[in-house]
Amino acid sequence: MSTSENVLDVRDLSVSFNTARGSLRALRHIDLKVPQNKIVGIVGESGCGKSTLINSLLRLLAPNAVVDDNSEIIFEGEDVMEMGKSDLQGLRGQRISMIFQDPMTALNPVISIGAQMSDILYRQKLTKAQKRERAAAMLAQVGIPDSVRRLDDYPHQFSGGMRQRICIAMALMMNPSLLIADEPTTALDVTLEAQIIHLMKELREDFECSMLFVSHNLGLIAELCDEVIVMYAGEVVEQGNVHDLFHRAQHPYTQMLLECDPARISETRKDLPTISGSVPDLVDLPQGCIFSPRCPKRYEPCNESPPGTFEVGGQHSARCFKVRDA
Amino acid sequence: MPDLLEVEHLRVRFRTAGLVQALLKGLDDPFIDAVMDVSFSLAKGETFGLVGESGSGKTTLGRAIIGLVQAQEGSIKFEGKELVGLKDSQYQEVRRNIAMMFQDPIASLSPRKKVRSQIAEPFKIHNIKDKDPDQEARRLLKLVGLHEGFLEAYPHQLSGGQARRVGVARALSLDPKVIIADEPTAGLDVSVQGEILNLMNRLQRELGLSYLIITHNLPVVRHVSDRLAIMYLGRFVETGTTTEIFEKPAHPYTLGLLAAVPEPDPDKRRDKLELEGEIPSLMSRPKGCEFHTRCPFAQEKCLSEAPVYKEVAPGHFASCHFPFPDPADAKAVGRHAMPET
Repeated sequence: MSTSENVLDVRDLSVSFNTARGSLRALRHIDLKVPQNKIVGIVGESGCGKSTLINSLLRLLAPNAVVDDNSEIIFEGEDVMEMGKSDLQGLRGQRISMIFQDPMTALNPVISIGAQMSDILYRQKLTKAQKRERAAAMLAQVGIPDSVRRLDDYPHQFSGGMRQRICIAMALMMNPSLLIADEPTTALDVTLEAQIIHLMKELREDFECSMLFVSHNLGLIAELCDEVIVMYAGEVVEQGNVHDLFHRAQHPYTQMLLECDPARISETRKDLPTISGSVPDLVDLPQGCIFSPRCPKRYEPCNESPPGTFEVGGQHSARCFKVRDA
Repeated sequence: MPDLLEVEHLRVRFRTAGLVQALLKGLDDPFIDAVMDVSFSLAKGETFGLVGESGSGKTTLGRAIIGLVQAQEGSIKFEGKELVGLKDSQYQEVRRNIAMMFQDPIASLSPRKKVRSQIAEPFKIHNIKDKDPDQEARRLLKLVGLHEGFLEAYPHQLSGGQARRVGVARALSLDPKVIIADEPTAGLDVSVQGEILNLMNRLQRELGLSYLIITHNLPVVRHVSDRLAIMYLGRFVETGTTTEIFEKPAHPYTLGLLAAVPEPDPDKRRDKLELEGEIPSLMSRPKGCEFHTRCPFAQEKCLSEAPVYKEVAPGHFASCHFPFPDPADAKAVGRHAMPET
């Protein structure tokens, strides 16, 4: 059975927001699978719908959001869209947990780390001492030295890198089946970033946990992920395993995104490549392919209708007519 | 001919405790040195990059040059004129020639002012009457590639890239010779990042600007700067041409920084960590070489004796007893920051 292999299986997810200007179509026909014990990376620029996608998975969308009726979000065999309030509470933070971008705002500044971590275990029938013990063990596992004593410290007494380690420890407290990391290293220096990524790799071996890793840093995606999804303006434009994506990218957007990364340009040059134009207005979508106004490879079919998803081979697919006609 | 900007043995200290507090806490020295013994020069049309982790003192150095914090020792000369010790009113004149682009593009704009007045503000501050601020605002917007419609926009209506362009326009308003750009591309998407850097590059060619770029983004700095300085705990630990530093880093810290940048290629994954631990507190600088607590190449000598900042190759300076380390010789240090396995 295919569903048992995938922790998360999102099918045909479309989300729009009611705004004063009309319906803003933030996500359109998203298909996404997170297989057991794999790390799936989501890449895309600001406004591509990464945050809306994550919030949909946890049913945390704003009140003006409308989820299309065909949308299915199957998590461990259950449809998240059908879940009631108590099921959702059991889902959030327990079966799916999250690591946020800014570790300072993710922690409560006036509650000690130990208390914040014990709070997560509120459902469990453990004594206070046992909860503290679990918290200390978890801190030690993410590399906080002297973890028992530091339980009584407050967030401001830790450095940025240490705080992010604490957030990771908190996310893993309930042993979740799916961990969502939303740009977990953007607020950190490159050396600390490398340390956090190293830690995540180590933890991956210890906790049998699948992960959705959201980032716009292509280097980190290449370093950590097994599979990659590229998003543009609310659509998945390309997906495949990390090697296919980085070495055999098919969608012009993916290709240009890779070309723009200064870390991939081996010869130094003062004039850097860019993607000209800007992201389209999601209230008034173009008739054809969403990327066609900025695409250097567009031809007749692109202006007529939006392309479907075409297989490149195996698990690799792209939303581009060039792939169909290749 | 002297360089446009010359900084020599600059030291910036901050007081961390008052006299009584220092006495009570038993501090011998209630000061921290945010910038210590820094020397460099910037020529006309040149781009100089300042690189280091948070807390290494790069922003403080930039702010000291433009007079936003006072330097205690050393000298800053702009076109031969000494800036250290100038009164704030005297510094005003200097700021026509040296402009700053602050870190966060949106936060550095006033939320209640339209783009028009943000750009025209320097003309008021400097009491410039011979130019029409309105016309200048239009000219500057055009120069940075924004159409006139943006004159009436408020900062919250701008995207990150557009706000950055307004920041560039504002920095250019008084025809400065030097621009200090603090993290000019932080928080921008890669495609937009390229646009801003290309814009800065074009303006440099057209207007003959010199840039001091403060950043921790090594892939970017490699493409844009001519020379680089690597900062650690307020000191320069390595300076040289960008090419040389990237090809042949002399200081182990530089080597570690370069190794920390992930390569966007899944075939080149790293299995070991090059630089462990975190930057120590300025309150308790390590003895000997200040980097020894994190250095994978540290030896006996490094624990007790501070290295001299010296020329290790023509035009290439570093402070290390054993420069040009071979990455193969690295040994694990600073395990305290990592989980015990």
